[in-house]
Amino acid sequence: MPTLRIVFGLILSLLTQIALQGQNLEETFQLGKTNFLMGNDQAASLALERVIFFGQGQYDAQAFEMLGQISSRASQFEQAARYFGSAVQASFDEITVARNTLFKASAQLRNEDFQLALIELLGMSDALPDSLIQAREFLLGVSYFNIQNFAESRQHFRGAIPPEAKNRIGQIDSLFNALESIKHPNPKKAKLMSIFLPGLGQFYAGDIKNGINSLLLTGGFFTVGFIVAINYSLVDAMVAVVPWIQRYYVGGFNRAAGIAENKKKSKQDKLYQLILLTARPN
Amino acid sequence: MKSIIFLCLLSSALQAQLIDASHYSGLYHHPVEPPKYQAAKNNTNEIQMVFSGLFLFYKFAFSSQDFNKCTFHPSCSEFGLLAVKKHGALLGMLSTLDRLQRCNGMSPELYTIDPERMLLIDHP
Repeated sequence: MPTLRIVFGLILSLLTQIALQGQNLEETFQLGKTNFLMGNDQAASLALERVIFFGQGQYDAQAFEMLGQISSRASQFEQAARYFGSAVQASFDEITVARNTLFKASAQLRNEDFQLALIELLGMSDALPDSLIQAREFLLGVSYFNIQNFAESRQHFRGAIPPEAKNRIGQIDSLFNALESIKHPNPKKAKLMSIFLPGLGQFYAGDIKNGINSLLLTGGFFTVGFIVAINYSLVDAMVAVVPWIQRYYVGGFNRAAGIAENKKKSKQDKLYQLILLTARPN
Repeated sequence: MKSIIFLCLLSSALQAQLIDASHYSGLYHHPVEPPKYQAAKNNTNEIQMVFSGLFLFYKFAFSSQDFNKCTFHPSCSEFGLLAVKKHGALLGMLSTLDRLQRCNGMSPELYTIDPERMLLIDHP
């Protein structure tokens, strides 16, 4: 009977040891990858962070890339860019470096860090497969467009179009020509008009309601200032009314420029949407 | 050969993922949404309705033409309306006068900063 107990105890301890054995690095990485592919982002993040912490760097490139994708899915683009940056540092072959650089630039663009994205994209190697070059050109086109350098943007959007779709280059050109012909409303002109007469810039930009508001408000304060100057003294008028006039007069012409800028951008944005759809490489 | 085909497939899949126009379509222009003033809603008596009306008129006619930004969140006009709603007309107006005196950005260490708006938090 004691022999049976000993044997039973040994078998039980062996089974327990097998059952309680921890995951190794490979298994943890595979767990993270599976969760990532299934969209279980929280579980994937935990597993991948463990792999990075305990690993010797062998899974870092892939793990950081997946963490970057997870952050992108959660619209945390600043964090995504940091993860992709780490993936670039951990990568050894040129394709992986290029891929993660493109992902980093994409995250920066979506975070509206256009200049940072440009730095990443302009620093990339030219010895890459066509599809990656076209992706880079597309992202460069987006970056330049958003900093309003339309000439550079046109060149790069043209470069994003694959050779078998040459007809789309003509479409891109005509869209950019249409873009450059949008001159109205000019924000500087709107500002100058409102400096000359409060509200005029708003009328020019097509915002009648704000134009009337600005004209009445500034005109009202001018009238009050004039009455105070006549009935009391110029110094009284200066002290009592000028700060108010200055506040709404300056506010008014800056607002006129803002309204014009907004209207112009709204027109340009319609073409931008068409350019994005036309310049897609595939 | 297999690795070349794999790389080509991988880079094509990557391209499809990167060149999703919808990712970049909202970057260039951010339409200005008309402001929604929650403070002026849910009035429970006539005094609150009058003050809410004054607040909305100020926002429409004066504040919209102003280039200044209040250093606080909620802004002084919103604070005024909320103070009237919370403490009544008299104490609310006194509280608003106190707030207007403090709206100079000279003592930021006394307030918590709202990191999203980068404004000092000061509720009535």
